[in-house]
Amino acid sequence: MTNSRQISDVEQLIEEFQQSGMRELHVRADGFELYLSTNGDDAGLDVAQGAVAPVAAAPAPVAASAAPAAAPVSVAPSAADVAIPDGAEIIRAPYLGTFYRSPKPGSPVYVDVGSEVTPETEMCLVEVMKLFTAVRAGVNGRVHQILATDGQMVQADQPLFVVVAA
Amino acid sequence: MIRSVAVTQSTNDDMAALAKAGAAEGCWLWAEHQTAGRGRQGRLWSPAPGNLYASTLVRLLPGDPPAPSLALVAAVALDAALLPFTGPDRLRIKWPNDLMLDNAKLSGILLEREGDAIIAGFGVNLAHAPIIPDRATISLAEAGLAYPTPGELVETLKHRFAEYIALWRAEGLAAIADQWSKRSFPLGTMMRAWLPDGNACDGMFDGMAPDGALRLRRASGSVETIHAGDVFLI
Repeated sequence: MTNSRQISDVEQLIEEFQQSGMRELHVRADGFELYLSTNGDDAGLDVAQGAVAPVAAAPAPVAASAAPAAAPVSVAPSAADVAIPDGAEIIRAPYLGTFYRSPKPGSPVYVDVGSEVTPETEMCLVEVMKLFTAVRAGVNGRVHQILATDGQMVQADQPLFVVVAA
Repeated sequence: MIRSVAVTQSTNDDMAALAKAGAAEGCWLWAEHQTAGRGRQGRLWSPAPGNLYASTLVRLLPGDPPAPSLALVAAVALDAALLPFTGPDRLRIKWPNDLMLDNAKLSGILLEREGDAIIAGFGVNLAHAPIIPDRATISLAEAGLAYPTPGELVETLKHRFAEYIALWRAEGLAAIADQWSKRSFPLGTMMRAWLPDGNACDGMFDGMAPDGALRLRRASGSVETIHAGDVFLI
């Protein structure tokens, strides 16, 4: 492929991948290799065949060859997708993980829409690899909107709650 | 410093309180009896005399590897502390940090984070194996092995954990993952992961993703990357 053709093909592949519902796509042909993932924390191809490299906070999926870099493919909603009242605060996921609204299945949720919160109020848990992180409000206010569902996989920095002044 | 108490509800809760009061990294607390120990998703960890219930504290520093990888640090440290009693062949790590003796659950590790404080809680079946409805459990005693007292094991675990924390900081997740991979079940082992959404994913163990997540290769050949869930041998 020429460079311009290569870029065009990769762009088309990314577009089709985004529309396909697939979670991962790994293409290898004629010295060209491309890896796409919907997982924003996926560090991409492992060139060292089994070695595990440290991962930056939110790496984009990468192509391991000299092919043009693929654009990040993310399913996480951004704050731009959410109608946010003026002055509202967004509580975000600390990192990729599973979002839990209660300490354990069947127990009352930490907060609900309308709950008054203080900076110390525990809003939810996010779990990854058996590390449970308590997410606290960090502000005074009232829960206006909850943007994730219990048990949902959330991405790093994904908006979880909208809190407005009480 | 290692502190001990006769009875407490949860060493993780006690360590969290100590962390809030300014305790330094590396302090340990163990209890002879724990009345409200818990596992993943708040499941009760049944108490039994003679078993280990201990927690320690890690203070995250700027530049540390990603905090979730401490789950793997805890696993390799506990594995190293128990190897003298089990030998390498009967003891294996199951993702992310369960230790399995003869394919039955020997220990549980739960990590909890508040700000820069990570509390790592360890439960090890030394003298007794609690009955857990959906999984096989075992203790060192039931396996016919000599076993340490909780106090002796905490002393060893403290040193192993400090060594692996130092390695984690100096060389990053890769060095820990390398050790973890040497002590995990072989690639190709059939596993089932129960995911937080209630669905199950069956597949062959395909190693660890670069961020420490579990990779399961399904019969179709596709690979699922799993960041949270209960994993069983099948």
